[in-house]
Amino acid sequence: MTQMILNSGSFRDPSGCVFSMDGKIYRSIFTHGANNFKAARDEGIYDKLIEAGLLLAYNEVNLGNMAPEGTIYCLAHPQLPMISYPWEWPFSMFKDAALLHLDAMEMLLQHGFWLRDASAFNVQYDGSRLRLIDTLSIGRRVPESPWVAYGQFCSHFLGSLAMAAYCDIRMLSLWRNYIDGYPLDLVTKTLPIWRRYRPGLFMHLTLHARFQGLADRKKHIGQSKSVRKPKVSEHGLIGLIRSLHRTIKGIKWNHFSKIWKDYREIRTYNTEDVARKSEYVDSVVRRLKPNMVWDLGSNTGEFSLIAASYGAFVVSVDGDPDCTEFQYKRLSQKNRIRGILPLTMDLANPSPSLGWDSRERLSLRDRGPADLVLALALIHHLVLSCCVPLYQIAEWFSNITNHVLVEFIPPSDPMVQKLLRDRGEEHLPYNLEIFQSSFGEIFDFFDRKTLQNGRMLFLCRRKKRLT
Amino acid sequence: MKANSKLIVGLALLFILIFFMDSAFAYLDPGTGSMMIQALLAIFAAVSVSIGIFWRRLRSFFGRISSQKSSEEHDSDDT
Repeated sequence: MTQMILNSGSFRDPSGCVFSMDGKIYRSIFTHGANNFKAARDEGIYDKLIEAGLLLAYNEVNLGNMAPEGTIYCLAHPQLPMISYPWEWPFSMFKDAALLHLDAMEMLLQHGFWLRDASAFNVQYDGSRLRLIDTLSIGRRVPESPWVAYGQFCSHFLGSLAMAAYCDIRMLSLWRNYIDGYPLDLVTKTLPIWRRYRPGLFMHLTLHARFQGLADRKKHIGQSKSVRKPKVSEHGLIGLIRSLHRTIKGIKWNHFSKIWKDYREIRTYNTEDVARKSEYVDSVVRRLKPNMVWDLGSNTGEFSLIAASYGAFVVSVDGDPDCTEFQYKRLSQKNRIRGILPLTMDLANPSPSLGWDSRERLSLRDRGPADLVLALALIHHLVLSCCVPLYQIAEWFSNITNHVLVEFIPPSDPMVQKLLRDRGEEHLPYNLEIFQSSFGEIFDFFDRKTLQNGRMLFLCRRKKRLT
Repeated sequence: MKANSKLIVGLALLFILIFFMDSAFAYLDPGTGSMMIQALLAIFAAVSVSIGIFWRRLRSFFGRISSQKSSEEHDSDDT
C-alpha cells in the first residue's frame, strides 16, 4: 500500500512541506506559499535558477487525494543520493554553499524576488554540484524591506566560516550544537580581536552582534513596541549582497595551502600498498556494482575515486578536515570527477540525530544503508585509538551496509606498532583470531586477499541484521 | 574606542528610527537588530552601487562619444 512519509525536517515553513511516497520525493505547497510559487513560476524565475544550476529541478504533478491536506500545488523532485549537514562539510564546500546563496539572491533581486531564508540546510550536493533544494525559499521581495534572512545568513555562513578560518577549523564540527547557526555574539567573542575589526567582518558580524544585543536588551526592558522595520532600497540590498560576497570570498583558510605541499605526509601509506589495494578495490566494485558506497576513513580518497569511476555515488568520510578539504578541492578543480561527497566526521562519534524531537536532522546511520562500505586501514584506529571492541565495529557495519570490504592490519605492522608504542599491554585485544570471530558472527567472508606486506582484505556479506 | 563605538551605534539607531515603516510577514524571525544594522549598511551600500552605476554610464557615454568621433574620422577619411 502506498504510504506518505512526511520528511521529519520539513515543518518550520508554513508555506509547504516535503514528503516521500513510493521512494519518490514530493513537495506540497499550501495556501500560504501558493502566491509566491505561482508568481515565481509564471515569471520564469525557477526556470532561470534551474538553468543556471543554482536550484534543484522539479516537475509539477497532480497526486489528487494522495497529497497532504491543504495542498494547492505539488512538485516532484529528483531524489538526492545523500543528505549532508553543514557540520560535516569541508571548509570550501561550506564557502561554496554561502556563495551559492548570494549568487541566487543577486539573480533574484534583478527580477523583484529574493530568498525568504538563507539556511545552510537548504544546500545539498546532488551528485554533480551544490544546489539550493528548497523551492519555497524563493518569494517576491517585500518592497523596501530589509532582507529577512540577513541575520540567518550571517549566523549560518559568515560567522561559521570566520570562526573556522580564523579560530580553528574544528569550529565547523561544533556547529552541530547550534542547529540554527552560531549566535553572533559568540562568534565575535571567539574571533581574534584583529579579525573582529576587518571591514567586512566588522560590519556583518561585530556591529551586527552589537545591534542584536541592543535590540534584545530593549526587548527585555519592554521598549520594543515602537520598533518597526527600517527601509532598505533595492540598490542598498544589492550593495549589501555584494559586500557579503566580497567578505565571504575574502575568508581563506590559509593553513590549507600547506596541505597541498604536505600531500605525501597526509597519505599515511606508501605508493605500492595503494596500488595493490587499488587493484583489489577495483575488482570488488566491478563485482558488486554498488550504487552507494561509503568510504569510511577515506584519507585522500584514492579508493573513493575508483568506486566513483564505476558510477557509484561515494560518501567519502574522514575525521581529518585537512583530508576532506583536499578531496573537495580536487573534485572542484577536476570537473570530470562527479558523484563523490567528502564529509568530515569522527567515526568513533558519527553524526547523531539532532534538532526538534531528535528527528529533524538524521544520524549517519539513518541515512543508510550503503550497498558497500570500504573500511580500509580503519579498524585498527577504532580499536586501538578509540577503544571500540571489534565485535561492536562488526555490529555497526551490519547496521549501515550489506557488504563491507575491511582491511585487517596485523599487530606486527609498523602502523599498528606506532599506535601501540605508548600503550604497552593496556589495550583491547587486537589480533586476527578475534577479528575473524567477531566479524564471522555477523558476516560471511566471501573473498579475501593478503597483500605482500601482510595486510589482509576481507570482503564480507551480512548474514543477519541485528535489531 | 568603546565610547566611540557606542556613539556610532547610538547615532545609527537615531538615524534608522527616521526610516521606520510597517512590518512585513515572514515565517523566519528577521530579528530587530539584524534589520537595523542592515538598514545602516544598506545606506552605504546603496551609495556605492549608485556611484558604480553612474561611473559605468559616464564611461559608456564618453565611450560612445569617442567611438562616434573615430567613426566620423573614418568616414571623412573614406570620402
